This record gives sequence, structure tokens and C-alpha cells, in this order.
Amino acid sequence: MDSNIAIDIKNVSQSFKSGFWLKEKKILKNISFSVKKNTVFGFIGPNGAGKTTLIHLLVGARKPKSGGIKICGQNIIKDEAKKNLGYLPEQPDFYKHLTGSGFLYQMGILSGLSSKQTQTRMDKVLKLVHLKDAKNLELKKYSKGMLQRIGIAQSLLHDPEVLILDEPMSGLDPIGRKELREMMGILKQEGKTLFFSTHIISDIEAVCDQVGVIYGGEMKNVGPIGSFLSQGSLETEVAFAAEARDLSKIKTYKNFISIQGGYRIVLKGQKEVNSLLGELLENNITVLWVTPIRSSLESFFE
Amino acid sequence: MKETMNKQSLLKLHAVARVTFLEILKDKILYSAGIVSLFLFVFTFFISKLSVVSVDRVILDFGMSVINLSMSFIALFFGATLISREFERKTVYLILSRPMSWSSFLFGKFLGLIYILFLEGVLFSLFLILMLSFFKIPISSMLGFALMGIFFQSFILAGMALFFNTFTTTSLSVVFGLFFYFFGNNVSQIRLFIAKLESDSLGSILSGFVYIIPNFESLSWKTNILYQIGPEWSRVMITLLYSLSLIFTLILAASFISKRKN
Repeated sequence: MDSNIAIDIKNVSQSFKSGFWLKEKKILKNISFSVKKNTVFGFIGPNGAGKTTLIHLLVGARKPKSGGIKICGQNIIKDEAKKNLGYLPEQPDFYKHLTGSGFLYQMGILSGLSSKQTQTRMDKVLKLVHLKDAKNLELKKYSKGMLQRIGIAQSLLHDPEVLILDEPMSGLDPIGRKELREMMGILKQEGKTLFFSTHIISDIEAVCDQVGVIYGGEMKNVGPIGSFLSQGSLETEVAFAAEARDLSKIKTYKNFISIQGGYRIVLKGQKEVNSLLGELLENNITVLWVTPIRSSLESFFE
Repeated sequence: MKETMNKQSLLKLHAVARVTFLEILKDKILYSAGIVSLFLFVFTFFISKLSVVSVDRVILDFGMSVINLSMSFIALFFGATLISREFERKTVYLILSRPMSWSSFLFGKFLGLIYILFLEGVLFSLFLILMLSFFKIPISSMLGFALMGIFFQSFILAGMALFFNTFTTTSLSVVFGLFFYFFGNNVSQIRLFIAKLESDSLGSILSGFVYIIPNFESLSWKTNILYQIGPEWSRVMITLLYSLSLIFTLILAASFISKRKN
């Protein structure tokens, strides 16, 4: 096995029995992919696509019906693999009666740290998530953003190589999202591998190196974010400074959109762009900008 | 190496038990149950005044019944929410993502509830002893046996509620627990009923049922204390072994079901 692989998922399938007749429902269908070390992997899919189910398998909280999962080369059912893994559940509702430090202490002990090691690490992670002043506050008094941050703190407590975050941005305000993105950047710089799920595409575009798209329990695509963004038809926006009377000089196109001090138009294909630019220059019309429009990950779900 | 692992496992077990203990300790339902029980204790005094039987006997009988009811309620109610609550707030996935097995987790949760039951039982027992001293009723060493029986009954009920909660809802777990509590405390009555039955097939079914349900009557040493009859040591030992093995079996079964479900 490649030592540069942090997460290796091979032919994983999962199904649940539900309803009165315990009818089997397939949730995940033969999923295989891997995540390289020290990358940020965005796992995207609409609600009900199977993201959380796969994450529960990834963290070893459930066993897959078939297939196998390895974390840093170790089978997830082994304790050694779990020691290399930090996990933040979706919209966590932690033990509200505990204080921030009490909760971290419990998670440290459950992660296999000694009491002394837990205390030392606790100070470090609380500083990282900016919760040092709130450590003696009960979790029921924490805001949503603070809960998310203490959740990240507990996932980092045992200094794992791989972090699995289930919808970490959900429910956060713009400032909270920005802080979390920055924190993810810091963790990547520290050499961690981050795997996070979301159904919000802009989050993925902002922080990920690699993207995996899941839909209906099947992996539709896995690859570098660049390859996703370069897919689809490339459109270009051309804007120019002109009066209304100047528009009659342009023969090839008519549907211009008025902007302050000029007009703009979105064109498909390089040939159309060249033709319009030629006419504008011929008529001494000032070109304001020529901007290619990036295709979005959103197109995968359209 | 093995010693470190064992120490680490004990630390983890204690960590789960501690959080469970603190969570229940901060639950208002626990205090409501405590206040109701204290009212019932005070009520004992008035009952004893109205009764034609000796005051000593009424206070002892009623007092122990209050401890029994209160501990059984706490065991059933909190036992039936131990696991479902962890699933509701998704903390179960967080804990299982750590190097911890289902059986250790369940045992830790159970232990946390046992700490609460023990604390509650000790406080109420002290209260009963204070009441007995106040009314100048002689305290026999038999009281210890009777209270121990009540403690073990509540521990079994907690194990049962936890077991039911691994495969059914909280309310159904309480209903199942109450069912076994009621029939478990009336085993001799069921046996009497079987003896009077004319139908053999129904008798066989009921006899089988008597073997399945836990015999809580065997844990009741209230009669011994009321009539000052010392319990047989062999019976005490067998009953305690029976209780411990029943609790152990329930936790193991709960762990097996949880693993299968996940």
C-alpha cells in the first residue's frame, strides 16, 4: 500500500433494514477512493446522498456490509487506526452538563491519553480554537460556533494525522465559516489530512485540494478541484464603454446588458469573443474587461 | 504492556461512568423523585399513627418500600434513556470513533447509573435509620441485608432497562421494565395461580414464564427483618451470585445486540 495514502476506501457497500417488513435499503453502493496525506478532501453531495453513513463507517462507529477502510494503512476496526483519527460529528450536541475542559478531559481519556497528557494537550488545542477563556463554562452556555470549535478541539486532542469533519460549516454565521476555513488552513500547514463533508459548494471551492461527489449512494466523481472547475463549457464575459447610439455599429450581437458607463455580454466559445473584440476595436470602442467565467461544482447536480 | 492496557481500559470505563453519573446528577427528574420519596417518608409517620399494627413494623415496612420504589423508578427511568439519549445527540458515534468497544461503553454507562443508585440508596437508608432512631425503634443488623436486596433489585432493573433500550424506544423500555418488575415481585403468586390452574398447557407456559423472569422475591428480606428471622447465608450468597450473573448477562446481551445493529 502507498504510504502516502491517509484514507483508503475499497468497495464499500452499506445497507439498512427499515420499515415493518425490514426491507433492505442500499445506502452506499460499492464505493472506492483514496485520499492522499496532507490534503483537504471535500466530500460533497445533496442531503440523503449517503455522506454521513460513509463517515460513520470511516470513523469505525459502524461496520460496512462489505468492503474495507484503512486509515494510514491500518484497518479501521483496529484501535491503532482510531488513534490516528479525529472526528467531528454533524451538528454536535455534546454533554451539555460538562464544562469545556471537562468534556475535553473525557475525550482525551477515551482517546487513550493519560490524565497528564490530556491536560497538556488540552491547553494547546484550546488555544488553537480560541476557547481558553471559556474552558470553565458549561457547554450549554456555548454558542453554536463555540460548540463547533470545542468539537474541533476534541478531534485534535490526541494529535491525529487524519481529521474527519461532518458538515463542519453547517449552522455557522459568515464570520464562523471564515474562522473555520482559516483553522482548516492552519491544520493543513501542520501536516494534517482533512476530510470534510458538506452540501455547500462554495466551502469546497474555498479550501479543498481534492473533491469527491456522492449522489444516490454512488461516487460520481473524485479528483483534484481544478479538474472539476475546468469541466463544462467555458463562457467569457466581455464589457465595453459605449453610448446607446454606438450599439448600432455592432452587427454580430444585439443582446447587450446595460451597465454603468457601458454594456456587457456573455459569450460561448473563443470564436465569438474574437469576432466581438474585432468589431469593438474597429469602431474605436473601449474594452473594459474580458473575463472567463469559471464553471461551478454546482453544475454536477444540475 | 498488558498492565498499561488494563489501566487504560479502567480509566476509559470510569470516564464514561463519571459523565453518566454527572449527567443524571444534574437531572431535575432525579430531584423530583427524591422529593416525592421524602414526602412518602414523612407520610410513613402519619400512617403509623393510624395503623393498628405496631408503629415499629409500619415504619420499617413502609420506609423500605419507599426506598424500593424510588430506586426502582430511578433505575427504570434513567436506564431506559441511557443509550437512546446518546444516539439522539450523536455522541455515541463520537465515542465509538475512539478506541473503545461497545461492551466497554455500555458497561461504563451502566456503572454511572449504579453510582447514582448507590448514592440515592445510601442517602435514603441513612434517612430511614435516622427515622428509626428518632422513634427509638431498635435497628437490627438484618436491616443491612434487606437494604442490600433492594439495592440489587434496582441494579437488575437498571440492567434490564439498558438491555431493552438497545433495541426499542425509551417508553417501551420502561413498559417492559415495569412488566418484569411487577411479575418479578409476584413470582410466588404466579406459582400459586399455576397450581390452581386446570389447564396443563397454560400451566406449562406460565411455568416457563416464571423461569424467564427475574425472581425479585428472592431478593426481598423485608419479612426476615420484620419477624427478626436471620437469613440463611447460603441463600444470601446464591441470590447475590444470581443477581450478579443476571446483570452480567444483560449487559453482554445488550452489547451483542448493539454490535449486531451497528
